[in-house]
Amino acid sequence: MFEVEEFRADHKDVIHDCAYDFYGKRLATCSSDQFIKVWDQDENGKWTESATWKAHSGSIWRISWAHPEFGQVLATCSFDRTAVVWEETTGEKTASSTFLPSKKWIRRTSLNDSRTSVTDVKFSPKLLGLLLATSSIDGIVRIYEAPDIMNLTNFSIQHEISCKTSLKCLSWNNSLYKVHLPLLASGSDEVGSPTGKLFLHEYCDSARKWLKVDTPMIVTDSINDVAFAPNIGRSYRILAVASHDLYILNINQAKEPTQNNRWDITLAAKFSDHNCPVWRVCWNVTGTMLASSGDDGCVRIWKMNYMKQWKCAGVVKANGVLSPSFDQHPIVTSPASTPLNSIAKYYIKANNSLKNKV
Amino acid sequence: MDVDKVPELEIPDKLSTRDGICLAGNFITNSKLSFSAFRNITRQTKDVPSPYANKEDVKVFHLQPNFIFDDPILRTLIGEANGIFVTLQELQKDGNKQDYVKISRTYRSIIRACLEKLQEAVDTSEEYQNFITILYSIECIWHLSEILFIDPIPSNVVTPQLLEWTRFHFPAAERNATDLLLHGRDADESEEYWPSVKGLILQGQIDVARAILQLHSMSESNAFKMAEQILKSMPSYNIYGGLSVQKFRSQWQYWLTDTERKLSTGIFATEPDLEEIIYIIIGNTQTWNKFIKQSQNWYELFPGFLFFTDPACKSFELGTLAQCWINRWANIKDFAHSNFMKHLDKVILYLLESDIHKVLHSIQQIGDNQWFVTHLTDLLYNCGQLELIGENKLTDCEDFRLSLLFDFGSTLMARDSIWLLGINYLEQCGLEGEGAVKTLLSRIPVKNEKQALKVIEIAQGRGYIEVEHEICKIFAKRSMALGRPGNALDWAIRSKDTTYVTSITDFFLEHYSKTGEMLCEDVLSNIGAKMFVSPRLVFLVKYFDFYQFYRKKDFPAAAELLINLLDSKITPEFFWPSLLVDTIPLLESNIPQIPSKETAIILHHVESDLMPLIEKKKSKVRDNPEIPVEVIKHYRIENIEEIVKLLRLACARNISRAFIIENTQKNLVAC
Repeated sequence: MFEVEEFRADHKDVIHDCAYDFYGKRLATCSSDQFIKVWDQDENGKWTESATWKAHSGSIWRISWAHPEFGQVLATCSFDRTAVVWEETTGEKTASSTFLPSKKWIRRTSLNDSRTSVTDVKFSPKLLGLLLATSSIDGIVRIYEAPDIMNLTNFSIQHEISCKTSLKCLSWNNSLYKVHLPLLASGSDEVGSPTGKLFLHEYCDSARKWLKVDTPMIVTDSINDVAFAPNIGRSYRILAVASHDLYILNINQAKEPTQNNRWDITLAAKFSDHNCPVWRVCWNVTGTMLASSGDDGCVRIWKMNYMKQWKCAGVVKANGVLSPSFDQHPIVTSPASTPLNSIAKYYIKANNSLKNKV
Repeated sequence: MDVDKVPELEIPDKLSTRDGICLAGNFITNSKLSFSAFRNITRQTKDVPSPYANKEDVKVFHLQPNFIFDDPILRTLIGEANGIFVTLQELQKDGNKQDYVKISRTYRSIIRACLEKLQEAVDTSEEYQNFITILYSIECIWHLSEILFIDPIPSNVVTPQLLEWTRFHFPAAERNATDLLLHGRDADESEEYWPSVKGLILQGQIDVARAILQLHSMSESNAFKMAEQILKSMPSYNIYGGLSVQKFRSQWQYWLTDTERKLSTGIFATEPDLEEIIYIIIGNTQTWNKFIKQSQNWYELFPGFLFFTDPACKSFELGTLAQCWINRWANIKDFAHSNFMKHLDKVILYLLESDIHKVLHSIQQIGDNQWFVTHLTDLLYNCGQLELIGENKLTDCEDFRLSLLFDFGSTLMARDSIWLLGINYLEQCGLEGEGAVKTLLSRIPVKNEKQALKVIEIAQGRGYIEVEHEICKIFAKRSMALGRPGNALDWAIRSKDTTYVTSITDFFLEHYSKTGEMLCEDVLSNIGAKMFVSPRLVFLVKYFDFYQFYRKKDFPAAAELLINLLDSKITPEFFWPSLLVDTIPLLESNIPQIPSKETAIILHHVESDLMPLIEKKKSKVRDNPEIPVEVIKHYRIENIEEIVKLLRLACARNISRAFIIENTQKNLVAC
């Protein structure tokens, strides 16, 4: 069984992006109504709005939290061609100490380099410092850096990577380990031409430049979202790509690297279950589960079983009428079936398939 | 076997069902999800409000699995199980069978204790009945697994153990027997008398049954004497008895013929209950069918039936025997379709069939957040049974166990109150497990410094330095945001991150040069050797020492330290004006403090550091006339030109004074 909790987001139009902070205790939402809202979970688990402000002069597409080492920092990108960095500040303590110091979100910097709509914005993994990457319709990935972590008014552009085709999304490879070189994936939603739509770049320390790794021809349909799985100990990286289908790619440093080919990119899984374009992909914090959202109105949860095969572990749909109900698996022992055990089901599925082989 | 269905859930959101709108899902934490309505945009999308703007509620939904171990009674179960789990890992797969049997029994005893506590409290919460059902199934399955896999009899003859298992899980007959025995003679007055004796016989408890029969008021009659003789002479199969199976069978056959002959004499005609007992022990079909009709579960009478019909059967024959028995049972109970088998019924069949994969699969569906499957799989793996039973390769079994440990550990670590327990499971999972501990440890939502210190202590104890540093940096930044720079400096020093220490130190220095106020003096005076984490901090601490000397009017020491600082090459650029202004009173003091050579050094820094800085600032002001930039902001400086003039003058005056003194002193020595 699940605990379901709902609250009104009070946006005047559809939310384009939801981002949860490092601890999962704060939520930032952005919408076509040009507002950002920040929600905090209180001691009792209730979510309440702690800030709301008009942030852009166009729809706000994406929102991203920086690691809390850098403070309470958000970045947004918008149709208005800018990306903005926001910081929550604490006001001076008032003389009467009965009130907590007031908090306020302040626009720290506005990044105006794109002449077109900025489609995605993501803070880098903290190992790289305070970097911010944006993608835009002009086909350029821009990487900004804040040299002074105590002063966020100072974001300067470090790199511009041109992909020569309109970009929709980007993702940093997030690894716990410094030995894993930084990778950046970006995707294009250009339609028509059957060219590679996924771009992979790696940072080369000696050249101090981002170099193109590959444009794998595995994905040639327009791409709506990309997301690297957080890497907590695998030797390879996993990239989820939301395109006409859901793709899961394994990216590994080539065993016998050559000048042109230093990476092995293989297709780990391709799912057409949505039967429709996939719009968004999102990983959990240990990179063991993936949520894909498709045009069929379903969100599917994917998990890799112990045989390293990806399996669907659950489907969530919207229903305009019903109250929440869990379509129970017929379990007699107890009505309290958790999704974790349903998720674990394909262990045995895999077992059976193995037995058939034997 | 059932086809696994992917679970589906519906969320009551109207907006997401509208044309062009769908549902989008995001992970909040490791297993918590969030959903909201979503509209895809493309590069062609015009930035206009959607057709539903201002019309429909925009909602956010949060979804998370139920977690049963938040309950205080179950909390003890999970805590104690964790302790046993750790002990089990310490054996490192090298224990002997007795160790593993002991561990299995300890697990079972904590389940039993928990069941008893739940039973006592069952009226206080509706959920408890549900928990009791769950735990009861677990106990029953665990017990049978222990008999079949963890503590197998060397000869594979399992009937005595199976009987023990039924007695434990269907204790009514035994309980009544105790009452009857206490009752003493004329026990047959009790209504429970015959049902109890038959129940005992059906569970193969011949000796107890005999004792109770002796208590019957008619026990001296011929019928009772005959029954006693039949029961007494019944051969029992015992692997330690030295009897071969063939020999036992012929003995049994002889006894059976004899008993049938005795029955046919009609000696039991006056005692139908006694007669029925004899029919039970000779395996009479009609009689057994009658009891089958009364039984609740298929496995209730199965071990007893084996005891009277095939006591020497081996464990590997159990599957076939059980299947036959189930068919018979279903026939008599009139179960036309196959759905009569409930979850627990099926698991017990799989166990008897030794199909460990089906067992492990099925017990994943018990709503216990995978507690049972994780611990049982781990135990079977550790005592070397998992790979023996399965057809899979050894590595698959290991992977299966690890994936369970990983998931269970991650689930626990995401819970506010019991995250500590999760670490033990994850630490068995190699590099990825360690990575998960680090990732989840730093994400424990610490509300205050006390909680942070607790997490840090755990991280330190396990050598996760990066987690400690990460938390320290977060708290350094938090403290700064709350306007507590001293605290922030402490955290930053602890994080050993030069960038953080330097940034916060700069805040102290800038604050001082703007206001003349030294922040958090108690923190600064306690830094000591920790200052070497950042050269900037060394500068701050040394400058603070100077500041102290000066305040205490120890001018010679102050002057010496100031000159050292000037020449240290660690002075931050912005601090030059402040540092040089500090020399003025010492240069101008009545008693000369600074010798000529050192005065020259001061002058050198005025010209080579302060002047370029002023030039730089000035050109910045020229380049950006619209931005109001003060050339130098300092609490003691209003006009920088004036200050420079003053500095040069003071140096000149002091140098001439010093020359005179130094040269006269030399002359005096020369004389």
